[in-house]
Amino acid sequence: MATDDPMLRTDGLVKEFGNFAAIDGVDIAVQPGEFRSIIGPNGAGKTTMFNLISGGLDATEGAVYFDGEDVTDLPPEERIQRGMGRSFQISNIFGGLTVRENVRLAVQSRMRDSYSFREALFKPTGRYDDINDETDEILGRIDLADIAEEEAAALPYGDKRRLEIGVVLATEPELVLFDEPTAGMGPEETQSTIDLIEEVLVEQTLILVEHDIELVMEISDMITVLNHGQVLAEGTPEEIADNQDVQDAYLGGMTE
Amino acid sequence: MSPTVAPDGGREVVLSVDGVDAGYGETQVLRDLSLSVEEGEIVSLVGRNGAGKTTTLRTINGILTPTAGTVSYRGEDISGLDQTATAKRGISLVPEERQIFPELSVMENLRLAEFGGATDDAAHSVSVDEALGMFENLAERTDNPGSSLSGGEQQMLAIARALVAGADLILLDEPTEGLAPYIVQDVMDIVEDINERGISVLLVEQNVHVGLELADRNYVIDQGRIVWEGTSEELESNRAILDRHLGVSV
Amino acid sequence: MYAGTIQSMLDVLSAGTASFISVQELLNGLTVGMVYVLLASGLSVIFGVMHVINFAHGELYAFGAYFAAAIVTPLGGGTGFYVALVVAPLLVGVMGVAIERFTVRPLYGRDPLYHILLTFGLVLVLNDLIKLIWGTSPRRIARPEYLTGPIEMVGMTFSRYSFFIIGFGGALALGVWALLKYTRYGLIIRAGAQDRRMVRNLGISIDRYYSLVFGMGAALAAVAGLIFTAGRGQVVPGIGFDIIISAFVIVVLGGLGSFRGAVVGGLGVGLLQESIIRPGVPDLQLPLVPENVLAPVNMVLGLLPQLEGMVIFVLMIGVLIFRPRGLFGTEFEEDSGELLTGSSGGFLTDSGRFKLGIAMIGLLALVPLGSGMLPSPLSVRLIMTMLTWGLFALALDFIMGYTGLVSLGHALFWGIGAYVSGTVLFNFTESAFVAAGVALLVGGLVAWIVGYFSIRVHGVYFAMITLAFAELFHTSLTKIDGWAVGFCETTPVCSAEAARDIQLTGGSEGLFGFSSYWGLGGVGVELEEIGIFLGPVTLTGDLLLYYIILGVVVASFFITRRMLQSPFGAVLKGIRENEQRVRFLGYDPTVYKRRAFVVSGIFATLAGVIFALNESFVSPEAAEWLKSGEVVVMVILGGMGTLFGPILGAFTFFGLEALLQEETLFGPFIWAGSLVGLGGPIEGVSATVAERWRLFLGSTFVLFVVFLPRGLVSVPELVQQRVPTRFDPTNVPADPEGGDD
Repeated sequence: MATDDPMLRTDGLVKEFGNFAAIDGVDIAVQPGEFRSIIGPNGAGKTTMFNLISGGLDATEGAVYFDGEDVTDLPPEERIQRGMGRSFQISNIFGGLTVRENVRLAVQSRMRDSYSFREALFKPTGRYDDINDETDEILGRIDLADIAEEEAAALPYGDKRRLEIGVVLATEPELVLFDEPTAGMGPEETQSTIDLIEEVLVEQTLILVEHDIELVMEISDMITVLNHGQVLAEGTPEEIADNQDVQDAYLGGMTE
Repeated sequence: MSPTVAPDGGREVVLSVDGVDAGYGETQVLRDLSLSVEEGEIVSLVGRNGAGKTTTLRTINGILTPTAGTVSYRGEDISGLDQTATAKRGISLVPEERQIFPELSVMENLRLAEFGGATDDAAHSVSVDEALGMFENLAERTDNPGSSLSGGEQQMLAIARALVAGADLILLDEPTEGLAPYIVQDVMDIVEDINERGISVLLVEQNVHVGLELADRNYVIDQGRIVWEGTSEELESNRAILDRHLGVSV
Repeated sequence: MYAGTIQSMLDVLSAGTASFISVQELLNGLTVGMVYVLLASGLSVIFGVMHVINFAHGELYAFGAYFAAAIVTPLGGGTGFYVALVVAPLLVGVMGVAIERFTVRPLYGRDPLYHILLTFGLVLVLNDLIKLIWGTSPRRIARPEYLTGPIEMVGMTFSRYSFFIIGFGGALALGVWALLKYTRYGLIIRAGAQDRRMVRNLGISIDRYYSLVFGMGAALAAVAGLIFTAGRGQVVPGIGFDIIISAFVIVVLGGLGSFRGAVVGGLGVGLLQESIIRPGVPDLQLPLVPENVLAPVNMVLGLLPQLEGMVIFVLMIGVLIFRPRGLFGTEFEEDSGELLTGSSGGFLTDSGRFKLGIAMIGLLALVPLGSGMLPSPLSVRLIMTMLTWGLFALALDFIMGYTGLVSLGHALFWGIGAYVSGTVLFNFTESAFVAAGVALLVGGLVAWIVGYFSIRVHGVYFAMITLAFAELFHTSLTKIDGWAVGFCETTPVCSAEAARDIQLTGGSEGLFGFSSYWGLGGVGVELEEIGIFLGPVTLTGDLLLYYIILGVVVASFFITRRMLQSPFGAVLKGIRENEQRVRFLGYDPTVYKRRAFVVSGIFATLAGVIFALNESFVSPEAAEWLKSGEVVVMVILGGMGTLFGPILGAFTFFGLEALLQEETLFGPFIWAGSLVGLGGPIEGVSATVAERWRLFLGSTFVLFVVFLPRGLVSVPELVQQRVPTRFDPTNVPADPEGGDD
């Protein structure tokens, strides 16, 4: 157990599909403000781990604690309401809505307690000053204020990524989960996405599931290496780079 | 990039993918991708998750249509053909999920392949009995429904089905995924067996070692482009490529 | 295997329950069950392979009966019957092939919803075609001498023909089973029902088999229609309507797409209805079970005959909630085809549309003043109907167009609105306000309950479960008065005499001639007694009601529009775009969909209330499934997801209906028909058409679904684009999987 209260902690997490344990007793603890990456060879259980944390899958055994609270049995939306944010691999925004509407829907989710049931049903969204101010602020931070009225589907790829991150930011998460945010990007796109993440999400705790080791080495505070559903190694990028087990795992244990 | 000539050259080019762009809706996955497979070769396509391996197979097989470039098979442009048409020409996809018909028996799965498949006389037709001869554990369970098979058995059945369909070129998507190590070896043996019958194989693998061991030639794919090509020995000794595009060493 | 199942069912029923159910009843159950098997197996396999829900299957059943009647009548019951047994199914099979080729095929790749809409249009077409060809008077199918009369066995008398149905139907089902099991076609069809994509990967053009499957399913339905109507009663145009819902129940129970499921489900439902529920069963007396356990069981069993027609819907709802794939079905993966909502672009700007809307309302407000000068189809009464249905369609659009949930049971709310307000006015108070208030309360509550159970299932299953709820209500309408009396006889809470005086639903006749006043507690006005004189114009009660309805509809439109601009509406639009993402923004989509369903239910109830106030009568027709289908048609016709589109759809629907029924106004329609290549035939039969307007309404609708899936509201945009290339059906690949590859 960590000394401080971790932002996220898993305790003996197990996820079985049939007889196959994709995650087989994982304990991790991510401290507030940390940038943690979860890596591992294919089939190591990275995506399963990600889904167990975000609520996309139910754990077979074990528990997930978020901010000290047991969230193991909560559906995704309730984890989000408690301050988790989740970014998607491929831009997963509301294509038919405008940029502003995308961000506003996220802001509105966080501020829903500030208006009554009657207002929620009948007061047009344009008349909520607090929500609109927040929305404008986010649009400014992700640098999309100029094209706020455009339909999201029509944006160029890079702007969609910015919007995707803006939508996550708008829910004001304490912890943001990223699932391979640079998959399918060229080197420049990758760099600008990482820059954006580091720029707008400075205060947040970040968990990144990634296969791109170079990227992970460059940006993480701590790295967890999964293999066969278990934690193979954990440490700073330097420690991981020197770890013989990790090298072996990546070179695969089947031949030689 | 133009289609490459294999090191030993001279054999007929079975499959040639030439400057292909393809993707899903607005998302472009393949960018100017070129590769080729010659008669009787095993060619592996290796790369990381999301690099475009499965998309390449789907574009060849006709599930996806390229937005630029051409796919040709034994000299014929097949870029616009659908799955059925490519299958009739002898291209057989063994998908990653295997896609065994769960409620059909092993025998029925094979007979269905017999009804479909290549119509070309040149195709390497393998009868249902021959196929069952090659896969003993399937022969013992011909009446069992597909859903009762283990992962390894399903993979065997998927390959057997491609053989019965008269495959001339098998597109093999992640055949060892999720299998126990000793079964991985069985699958590798099978791939070598079928290759010895003269069937060309384009193999997609995340497990680089399977690719290295089986393949005559390897293509490394990253972000939808072929970034390297060469023999297994060359790839094995090329730490830079392994590091940069496959992430297999740290 | 199937034969084994049937055999074992027979054994169990005849041995274990011989004293429980009489052999005669068992035979009845099997006879009806066998007809169900034939009807449902085609429906189920068509769904499994093509993912098409074929509402027109019942009409194909009717066509089988009609073709047979046409053949048997001149040839006589001897040879004629046997000739019909071969020829009628063949003819209907050819019809099935044609239907698949020319109407279903262009829609592959779109959401399965469009197939529901298409086949619903086909129901209208085929049903009217029957009336056009054969008229409405009942016909009979004569049977051969050999198959009539009783047969004596083991000291009992049975109907010879029942044995024929069981034997012939059973042999046919066995034949189909063998075909599926042992032939190449059968193997391909079974594989196609499991994984179409892989069948294609093996080099088999599964699409080529679709026509065959559709044709075979149609032929089986025709056999069912023939043998059943030859045995019992008459061949009348409504037989397809009456049986199709039972067929759906069976398909859902057995499992969508499963032949085995259709066989077991068909026989099961037949036995349940005919052998258990209808005759009722004696009290159970089991030696080992204590009396106090048996008593409640026997009480429920004793109630069964009173629940005739309802039990199967309860079963259907239960199966859909707890095991949506049914007894033998495989988990059906939703096609990810696109739902085409109405576009809002085109050459009309927002303010332009707003002005146009105001102008329309203004025009509608002026109509009564000049009603004397209008041609009769545009009468005030017609516009009142249009407005009422416009409100109903708007209500459905709120759930269908904004959350993508297609309810096939919205007649439930229309029925509740009409019946609850009718009951209140008829029995308790004549205050229209009280009646409307009570109805809206009940409607909202029922919507919440139905929503609670239904929203957890998706797509086709949602359509089916809402249909089941609506049918449950529909069948209960004729029984409620009886229950009330029965209830009051057994409890001291109310007196049976009082209950007999009250007519809650008025049985199958409904409630007639209730009057209302607009006020509360006896203080208010009756519209009939009012005359307002404004210069030369006199506003009588009817016209006042017109304005009330117009006001309610306009107000409802603005209220729902306002809701969609609110945070609540923003979440709904988000769900429509990307449900998963909404969840990961911290919203529970289920909660929002349920709320939308309640809003939709309340406005649909309001439409029903208006209907009752306007017509001063209600009958069970108010809640029949045809109503649910018609309102879906209006929503699509106008363009869903726009609120005003569905109102436009309702106006078009009834406008067309009125126009088609009016022979003098036929000129423009002949012209319009000539544009789609129907000019000649229409001209030739214009008089008949006026009578058979549904046929043309249905055809128009089929053309709409195929060519203009975004509805009338998309016309401005299409005009702007000049060429509607995006919706050119030839661009749609013949690939029912849509984007799932």
